[in-house]
Amino acid sequence: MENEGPRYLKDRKGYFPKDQRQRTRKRSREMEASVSSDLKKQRNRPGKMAYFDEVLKYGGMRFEELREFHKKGGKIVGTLCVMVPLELVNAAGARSVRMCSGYYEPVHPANELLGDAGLCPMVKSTLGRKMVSSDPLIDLIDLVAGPATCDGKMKLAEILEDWVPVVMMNIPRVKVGETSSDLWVKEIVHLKDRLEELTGHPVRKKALKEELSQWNEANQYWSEIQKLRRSERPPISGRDAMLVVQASQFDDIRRWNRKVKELIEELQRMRTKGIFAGEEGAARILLAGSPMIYPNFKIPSIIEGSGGTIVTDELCSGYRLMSDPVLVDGLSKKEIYQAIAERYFFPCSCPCFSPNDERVRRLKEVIKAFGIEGVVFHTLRGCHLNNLEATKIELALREISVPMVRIESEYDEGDIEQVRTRIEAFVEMIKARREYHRNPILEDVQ
Amino acid sequence: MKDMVTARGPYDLGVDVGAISTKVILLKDGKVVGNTIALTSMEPGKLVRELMRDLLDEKGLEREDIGYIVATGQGRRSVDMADLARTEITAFAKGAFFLAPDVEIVVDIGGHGIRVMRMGEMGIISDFRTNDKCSSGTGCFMDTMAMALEVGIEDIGERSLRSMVAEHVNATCTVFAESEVVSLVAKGKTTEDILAGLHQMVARKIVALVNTTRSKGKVLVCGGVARNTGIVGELEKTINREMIVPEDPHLVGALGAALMAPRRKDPPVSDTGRRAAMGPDVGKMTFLDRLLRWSG
Repeated sequence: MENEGPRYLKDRKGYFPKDQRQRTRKRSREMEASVSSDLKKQRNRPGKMAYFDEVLKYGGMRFEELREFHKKGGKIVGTLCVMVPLELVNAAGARSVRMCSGYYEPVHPANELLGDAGLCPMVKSTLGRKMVSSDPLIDLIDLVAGPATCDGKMKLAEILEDWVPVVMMNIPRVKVGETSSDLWVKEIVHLKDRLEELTGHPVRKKALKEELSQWNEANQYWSEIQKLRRSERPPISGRDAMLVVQASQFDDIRRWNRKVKELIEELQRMRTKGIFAGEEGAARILLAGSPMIYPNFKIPSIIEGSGGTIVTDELCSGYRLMSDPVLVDGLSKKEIYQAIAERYFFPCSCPCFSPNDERVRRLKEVIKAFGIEGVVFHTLRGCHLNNLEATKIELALREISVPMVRIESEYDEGDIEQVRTRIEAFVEMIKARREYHRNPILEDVQ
Repeated sequence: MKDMVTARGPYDLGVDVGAISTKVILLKDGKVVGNTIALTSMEPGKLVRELMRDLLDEKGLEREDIGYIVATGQGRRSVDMADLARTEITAFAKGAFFLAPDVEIVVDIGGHGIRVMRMGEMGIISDFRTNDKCSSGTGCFMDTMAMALEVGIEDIGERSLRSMVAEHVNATCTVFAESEVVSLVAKGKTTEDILAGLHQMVARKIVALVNTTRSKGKVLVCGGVARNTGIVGELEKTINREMIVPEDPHLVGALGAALMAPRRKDPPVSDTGRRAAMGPDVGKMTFLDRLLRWSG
């Protein structure tokens, strides 16, 4: 396979003019800067958020660190979905970086390669980023770990092979039966072998256990934040919470843990003072559906700018990243891999799995626990799996009389006003319902 | 509190700045006193001010007589003198509930958008959907088709009713549908048959959107396109449930806006109020009644 050379772009040389790269870089940088400045304008924003802004900044401090690391011979692994065990990547001595892109501009080069193809814009943007290397970080990646989840992601991993070595992970999409979990454990071990090959470091049990405890600690901190968000007046906005959890995908997890701990302390102080991140009387919204990767914070910004506050989400770019710790039953290496495989397979409620009733069950549970008044179900255009599940979820939510609105969006700003009208109507509806559907008063969580 | 209410004039103004036309309605105690309509301009704020002045002059009223101004529609934020701005989704539901409280589904077919609202208790929307980035079936779409066929937009409904065998139109995209229409014209098909086919296509599309709500209840169709008797007729045939169209369907949004004036927590939903607002026997009219009313 490796010797065959490019398949999708045989005439790669000189295909993309230099000015396209310059333009894509410039627009990406501008987009990130404008989204970031909007985030900084949020009212009652904790001061400790500044660190997380910096981690995700285009060409920021974290990028410089990774470049230094790479220069010294360190290896960087790009991950495409949440099923890649980051503990393993780091235990092998490599650094993990989530590759999914939230930048709008790189969609255009991908369109030139593939045509429109009704493909998900996140996939196109990720591909476009690599094609014109619109982001200096993307060129540092030595290996891509891509679980074959949805059609878009699977073919994205295949196309990326034209540029960079890829480990395609055969994730079982049917969630029942012994064969599924056996296969997935084997795939995890295969990833380990490829990582060892890449770095030249064997994955030692001690290092792996150390990484596991660090990531489990991170999960712990995330659930602290979730607890704070459950309260009647969450001190952190939905966008900021997403920013924090997404930063973990790029950052050194030890430092991330330290910084999140500081943030939590600040948030707790804010809560005792009664500081609220949202507008007074804001509608408590749960965000569901397709991922929203920074800086594609279009929909969350509209929600939080139209009288809503995102109390929690069920996205693979948010809550799902940190929702479960790895629970190891024994001391053998086999048991550790078994535990990792389970953590990265069973709790994941990505719509690429079937049966996926776990998603509805969890959603209902979260709605009750967080006092959710309405669900915004977002699908990226071409995200068939989420689009299909939306119907099922809408009907399930109707049973517990929680309203849901479906929003389809693309990677551009053309639909902002249309989306805003719908979200505003949704918030108006929730507020009108309050007079007739009294929500149970939230118990103050502590 | 009472003083504050009396300090405001007794009239409420509902303004619906739509994509194509701007509708203004003057309401007093749940009764429509007057209304006016104009094409939406580039400066909706200025346009609304002019329309209001005309309406006030016509009725011999002063600016002080108006208590609240509530704006809705796509241009609601451009109406600077409004006390309140609400989305058209809320406004149409409010207006429709006022006219016919027993309706379960409200369909608003406007200039740029189709909105389907499922009504819950007390006239509060429990669910809604809209057309997604597609203008098919909207007022703009029908405008384009009428232009391609060189028929006035006000005549297309009536002319389509004269068709004996409707042509089949498959394309839903505005641009593709236009080229399909042009090719049908080239084949020598009559304007009437083509229009009837277009109306069938639009009706199918709207019914599909309505059916995604999984509701089997009564439907109220409003918005400017509901004045097109051809589409209304086709909808009645395909929707397979009870359906009503108010007499002035395009004014429902402005009516809903006026009803949202903060003083009216609970609008008087009585038969008399409804009749007074929208003419007699609204909701009871058959298709033929409406047809006679409009064509006459």
